[in-house]
Amino acid sequence: MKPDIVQVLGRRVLTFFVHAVGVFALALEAARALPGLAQRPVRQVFYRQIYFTGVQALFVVAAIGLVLGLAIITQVASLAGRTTDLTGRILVWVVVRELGPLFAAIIVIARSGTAVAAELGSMKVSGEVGYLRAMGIPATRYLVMPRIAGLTTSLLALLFFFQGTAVLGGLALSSLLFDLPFRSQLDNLATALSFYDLSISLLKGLIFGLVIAAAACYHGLRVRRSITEVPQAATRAVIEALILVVVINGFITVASFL
Amino acid sequence: MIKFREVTAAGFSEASFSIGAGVACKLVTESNLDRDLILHLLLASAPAERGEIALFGEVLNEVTEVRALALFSRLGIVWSGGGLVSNLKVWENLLLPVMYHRGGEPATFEGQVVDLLRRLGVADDLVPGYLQSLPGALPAQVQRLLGCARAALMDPEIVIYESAFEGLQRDVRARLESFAVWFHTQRPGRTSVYLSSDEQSLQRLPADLVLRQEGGRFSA
Repeated sequence: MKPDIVQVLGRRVLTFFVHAVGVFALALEAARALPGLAQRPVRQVFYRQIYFTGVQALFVVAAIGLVLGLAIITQVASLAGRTTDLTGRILVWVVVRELGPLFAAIIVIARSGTAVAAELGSMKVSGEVGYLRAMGIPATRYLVMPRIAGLTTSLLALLFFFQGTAVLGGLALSSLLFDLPFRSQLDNLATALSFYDLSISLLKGLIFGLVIAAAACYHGLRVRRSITEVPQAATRAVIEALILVVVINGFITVASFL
Repeated sequence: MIKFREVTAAGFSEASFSIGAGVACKLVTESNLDRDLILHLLLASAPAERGEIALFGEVLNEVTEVRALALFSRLGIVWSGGGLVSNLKVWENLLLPVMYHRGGEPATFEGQVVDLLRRLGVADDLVPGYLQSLPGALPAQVQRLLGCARAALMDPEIVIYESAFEGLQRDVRARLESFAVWFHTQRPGRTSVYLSSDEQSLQRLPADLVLRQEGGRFSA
């Protein structure tokens, strides 16, 4: 008998929730292991993760931020006029509160989420996680926590870098290409930008970083015996991180306007 | 130091044996599967259906994970596959357990690492190249020697050689054998366990105790 569509959907939704609970539990466990950063080998993993996720992604983030900023500013200026203060407010709403955190998260998911899940999955298959345990080194403290901490720190830094590039670069490029008044648009933006907007953006970056890294570690460490499970784990980590990020983004955005 | 009391699990049926402090023991299993099972049971990564496994006098299924990890840090295992972490350079691999458990500056271990590698027969001119390599770039038997140096650097109370003397070139095997014999005497009360399913590969190693698996049990 063919399983009906409701059953299939129900099972998928249930699996997603079970995984989501696992992801949050792993993030909590990693938080408890944070004092491990005082140990040099753990700190080295943390620094490497920052280098890979943060430093190596700077160029991609700058390029996307610049193009996106230019597109948004051009559109806003053509719709709302060159001198209106609406430009600043729209920039804050769109770039600072919404697209900045989302784009930074998507770039990190694509670059580092997959890499972390695949790396941990390969380590699991080749028995390296077991070798670490045999040396008295727990995976949560040595493998998971520094990756979550490093990826979250990097995402926060990339988020502000993305916003800065999108807003300042976009304004500079649009003033060069379309003769828009750079100074007055910047003033509009500064007037519209509040500490609350930055806090919302920071909160999103923090939660997205935790969720992306924990999902990648969770799925990487769920790999058991076969190397063919590694790409599947990477795919699952990406999809679930994307869904969680979009859903959490929606919640925070709605909650911030209540 | 290591005690199995009436352990029933997969190929073992009420298997009992005890390896005391300061003993060099050959532990010969009937198959690689049983050899792996012993390690899994000893590292509490596979549960026994019945019976007790004790390490350093503590029953493993009665201790917390944190306590179990603390006990494992007093073990040194020389894995047949080397047991190195693929994304760390050899130098980082060698220092990982000792730096994790005891801290300190990497430079302070340089002399010890060089001495251990020399004793394992690694030529001095090859050492800098090896230390800066990723393990995957090195031959399997070199990885095993490096894994042995990593285990030795921790100055463990128990050393377990997991099929460590199989599949090596004759001179490399001889070096590893003489290292194992020498290392056993370097700490009073150190226990060395030569674990293998191939008794021939352990032929040249002196031992105080030989335990052989027969059916599901072990006998001396």
